[in-house]
Amino acid sequence: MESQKEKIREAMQAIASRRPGRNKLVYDKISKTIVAVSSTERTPTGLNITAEEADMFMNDDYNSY
Amino acid sequence: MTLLERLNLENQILLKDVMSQYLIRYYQSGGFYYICGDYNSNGGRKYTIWCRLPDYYPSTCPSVYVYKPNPLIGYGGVYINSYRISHSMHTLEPSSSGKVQICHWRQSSWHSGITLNKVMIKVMLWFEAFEQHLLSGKPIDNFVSTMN
Repeated sequence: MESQKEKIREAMQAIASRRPGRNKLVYDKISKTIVAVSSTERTPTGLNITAEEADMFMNDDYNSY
Repeated sequence: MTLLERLNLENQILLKDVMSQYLIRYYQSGGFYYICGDYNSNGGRKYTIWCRLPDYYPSTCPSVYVYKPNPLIGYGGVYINSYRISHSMHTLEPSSSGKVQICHWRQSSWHSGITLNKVMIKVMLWFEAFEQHLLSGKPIDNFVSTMN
């Protein structure tokens, strides 16, 4: 639990500083929560939608809001 | 496709994606469809979301509110609903009872092809970003980008 929290924090901080992180955020079907998975690991979920595919972290254009 | 067919399809997608907590239900006495489900964050907190599907769904973007906790208290004890419409906090006008409305999609970018599983993913990410806000004091837009 603590390591997952840490991974989430790391992924979020990577997003905050707009740099590619080692972790990406996905929805985990077992825990029914957002989890961070290493980009080198195989994703443990069969969900087709990642945060990126949901357009969440793709657009840096703040002026178009 | 009729509304009922659309909602059945949405529920099938939500079930396939293991989001049964956000299945669409019908409120008989009110005559409307809604979602009311919990999100248990990595930080160990529990949030309940509320979404009444608008009359012209899916042509109209659904509003999603934080049903519990209300008030939702952010970093430094600030009520999140006090931000009202906030770009930096990704919030829209709160409900009359003060429930925080999460900005998940810009109205101008919404279209009927967007399904509720994608909305729920964004809502869950908002909660994780909110918890980073609680830890750091930084606004939510530090952790999520513009809602398209």
